[in-house]
Amino acid sequence: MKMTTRTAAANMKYNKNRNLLIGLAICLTTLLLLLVPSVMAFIVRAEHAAVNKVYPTWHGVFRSVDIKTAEQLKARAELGEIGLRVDVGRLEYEDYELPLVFIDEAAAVMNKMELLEGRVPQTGDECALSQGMLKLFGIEAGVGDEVTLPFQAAEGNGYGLVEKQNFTISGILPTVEGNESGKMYTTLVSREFADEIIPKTESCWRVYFQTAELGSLGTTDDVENIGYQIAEDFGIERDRVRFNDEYLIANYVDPAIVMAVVLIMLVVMAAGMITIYSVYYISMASGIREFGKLKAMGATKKQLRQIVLREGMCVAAMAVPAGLILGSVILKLIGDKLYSVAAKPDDLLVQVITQIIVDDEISVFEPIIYVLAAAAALFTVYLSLRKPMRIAGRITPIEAVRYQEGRHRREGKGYESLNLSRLSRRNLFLNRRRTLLTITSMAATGILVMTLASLLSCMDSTDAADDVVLGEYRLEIESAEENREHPEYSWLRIQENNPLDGKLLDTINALPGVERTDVFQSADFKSPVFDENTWRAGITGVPEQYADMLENGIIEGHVTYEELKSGDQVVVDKMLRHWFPELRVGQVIDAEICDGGRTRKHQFTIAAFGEYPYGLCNSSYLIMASEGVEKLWENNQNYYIQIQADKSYDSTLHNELTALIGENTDVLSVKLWKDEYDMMERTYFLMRIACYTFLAILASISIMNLINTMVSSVQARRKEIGILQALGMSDRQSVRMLQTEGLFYTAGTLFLSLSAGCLAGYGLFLYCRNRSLMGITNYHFPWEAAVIVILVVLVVQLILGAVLGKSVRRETITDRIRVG
Amino acid sequence: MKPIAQTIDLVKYYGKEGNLVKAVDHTSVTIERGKFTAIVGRSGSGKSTLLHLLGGLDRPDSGKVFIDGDDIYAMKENELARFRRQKVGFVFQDYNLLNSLNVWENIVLPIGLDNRKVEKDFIMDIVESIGLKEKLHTRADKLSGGQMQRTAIARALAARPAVILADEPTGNLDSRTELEVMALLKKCVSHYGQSLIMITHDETIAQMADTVCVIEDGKVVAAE
Repeated sequence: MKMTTRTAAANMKYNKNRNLLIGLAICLTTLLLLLVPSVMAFIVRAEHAAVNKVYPTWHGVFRSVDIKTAEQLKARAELGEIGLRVDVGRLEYEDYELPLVFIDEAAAVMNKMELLEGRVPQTGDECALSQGMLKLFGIEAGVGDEVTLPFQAAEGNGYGLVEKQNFTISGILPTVEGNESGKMYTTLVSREFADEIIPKTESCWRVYFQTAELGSLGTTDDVENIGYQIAEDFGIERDRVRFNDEYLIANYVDPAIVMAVVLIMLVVMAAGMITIYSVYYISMASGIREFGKLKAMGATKKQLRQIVLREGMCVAAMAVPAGLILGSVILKLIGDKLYSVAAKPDDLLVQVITQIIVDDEISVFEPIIYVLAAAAALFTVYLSLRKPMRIAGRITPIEAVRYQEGRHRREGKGYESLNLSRLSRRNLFLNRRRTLLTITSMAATGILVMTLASLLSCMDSTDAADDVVLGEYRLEIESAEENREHPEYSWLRIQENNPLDGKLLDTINALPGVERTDVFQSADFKSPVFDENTWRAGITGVPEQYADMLENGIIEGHVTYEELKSGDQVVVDKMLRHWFPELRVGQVIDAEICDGGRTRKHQFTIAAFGEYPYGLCNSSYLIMASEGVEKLWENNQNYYIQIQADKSYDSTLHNELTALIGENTDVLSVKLWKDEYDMMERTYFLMRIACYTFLAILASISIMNLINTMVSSVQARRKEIGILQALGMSDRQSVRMLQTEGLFYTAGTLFLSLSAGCLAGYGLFLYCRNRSLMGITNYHFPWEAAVIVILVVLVVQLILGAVLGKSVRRETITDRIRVG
Repeated sequence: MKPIAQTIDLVKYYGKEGNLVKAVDHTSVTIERGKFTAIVGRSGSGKSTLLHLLGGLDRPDSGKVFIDGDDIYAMKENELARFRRQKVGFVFQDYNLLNSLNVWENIVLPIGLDNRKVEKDFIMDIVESIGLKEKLHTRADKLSGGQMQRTAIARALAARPAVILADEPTGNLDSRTELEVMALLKKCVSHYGQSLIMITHDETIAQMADTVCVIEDGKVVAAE
């Protein structure tokens, strides 16, 4: 065996306590480096597999293009598969959606459209439909039979009048579960039929595409860039390009996810590195003398560096596999439970994913991630060892004998008299680099814990549900614009005979359990300030009960609720600035008020900008007092009713509200606070589990650091403590001195963690709230996390103090004085 | 006059069976108050162990040690620690100063451990007599060997102990400094009325003592 390896092995045994701590830190670092990417990859692959089973496989679609452009697109090399589809019209039957579409073979494959029997329509009057739809019309027929159906041809943005049309059935489509519940059946027709109905110049074709030559390492951004570039080349506006986001995200690596995983792994590596480095740094004093002796005996710089490296790598050689094995056990548990605990059982995608996992179609264990985790862990160890290697290589024998931490300390007057606390302070100050390193490295984890905990505590399901539903129930109008067959569903038509009238309100108020009803209006207008084609400009009328919320939410400008009753001033929700950044306080908006079939000119002045929950401003983002809306619009503009009830959920009241909608199900719906709450709870649950598990492991690495610092401190000061005891320091006093030092680390760590962590957490909260991310609306101080952090640090400190106190008593004073 | 230190049938063995070392073997010795007593013997004769047992730094296997009339091994650990800081001043061969502290802080350390107020005039008197007035704010590891040992002597005197135990205090010093330190120690006995028990293997130094105890294989073989 080479001298360097033999010495490294001997050092490993000699420094077994230190190496045990380092081993634990490496093991935990490896564990996190394995868990984080494995779980992310597992989620991505599980969803990928499920999405591939459920969703269509096209990457994007160009909408509203003419047939000439559609054919030309096929020539583009960046595109792989191209499929065409056009909506030829619809069949008329009650409130069912029964589109007639032509879809070519490629588009049919990409849309997972398969026939139960027969073939796709090829000539003139052929069609393919499902038995479910034939049943709807009360027709019994099969392949080859002729049927007559009520057909409405597509015309511009709507449909023409109903005509009887004869079709010959060429194939039967399967009837799927959602057809009847969703009241939607699709009928396929031939290209010949489509060409007959649709003029060649009509821009109503959809071109489904898959990009060419994008392997599994492609990103959603790559696909989007290609799609937008081609759209630009063909003069297709960006808003006519749509991407199959669920499919793309599941199939291609989203750079944001990759970035997040890389960032988390870097944080883990940094935490591991700081810990391993500080363990080496703190125990360097005794090691350095040994290296000096070796150098005096003729060891070269390279050999000394090798000894440090090999000792570290030997520890890693045991700790890394241990981390991988431990990680595998945890991954096995995660793989089995991940979706079953967090997701809503009736979610279709979750059902598919669960089945995929049960069938072992995908595995949570990914060999490449094991290799990457091990490599990253070893690289972390190598980086941590670089400085100790340099110190060991650089040291001269004379320096080594004299090596003492804090030897460059400047001299001061010192204390006139000494006591335990001053002795502790003197030690901490003398070794201030070590003190700072320990506090900083521990606080780094603490700050991360508090920052994430702040964010997690702000992810409040109650807040998120309150943001959408201001009471316990929300009864709202469901309007649909540009449906030529059902123009009565448009808001301007509904308001002519608005079901949300005083009578309905009285009935709701009389229901047992209802405490209050608040009516909000939504009034339409047109303005050149807003893009009339894409933006439905509307004003929300806020009732007086919400006057305080309205006034308190103002962040720029000033206006009172009373002033908003005039109908001349509006408050703009700050979210609108995202789309219209040029809006300013004082700006006058020329508007054409749409009041049923009537219009008239009016001017609104932007009095202020505010920040409001979704439930208050809906998606109109322009707000005034209800009285203002009532002054300007003659029709009943009531759009939704927030219902305050005595219980957060009461099935009887829910049923009564649903019954009240009765015949108006087409234009009215009930939204529950409880549903919003339950949905957010499920979303946050998994996030909390993942984050807290990650933080707990990271905190364990940090605790290794504290243990090491205290143990090394006592080890390095065995002689000093012996001298103090010889001079009359009692065991109790020595334990108190060590505890005082420990308390300083604790206080420093807690101060930094809580102050900087909470500040960073608040910053993160503001960032998320301002961008409406993760349903975050209100700041909640992470009390639980703060108490846990304080308790964990204090308990570890107390246990350490007691253990170290025992170790102080184990040796005799004379043994300790002889050390060194 | 009551003796300052007395051992009765004191035993301290190290190791087991074949490796048994009888460091102190049924030793009974009485040391007079206010005198300079030298304990001499060859290397490994057990003199350091005897001194450590006299100072309460170690526990004997059997026997008793009385310092200023107190049976020190009848005391509990904390009592023994208090006894050390109030009744005993140590001077070690390798000084055993705390390098993180300056000269003044090292000197007042035992007083601080005893939560007593520092008698500045008394300490300054010691400092002047050992010639370290100019070095009071110098850190211990910046001192020469002689200065370190003088600091250690001042530390031993500062708490006004009943007895000073010195373990070959001149062992690491050159001959000139050795004489200086010895003169200083002798002066302490006369000037401050201290009892001094010192270990040495140097016959010349032993000649300066009032009483000499010779120790061989853990037993006191002569006292003159």
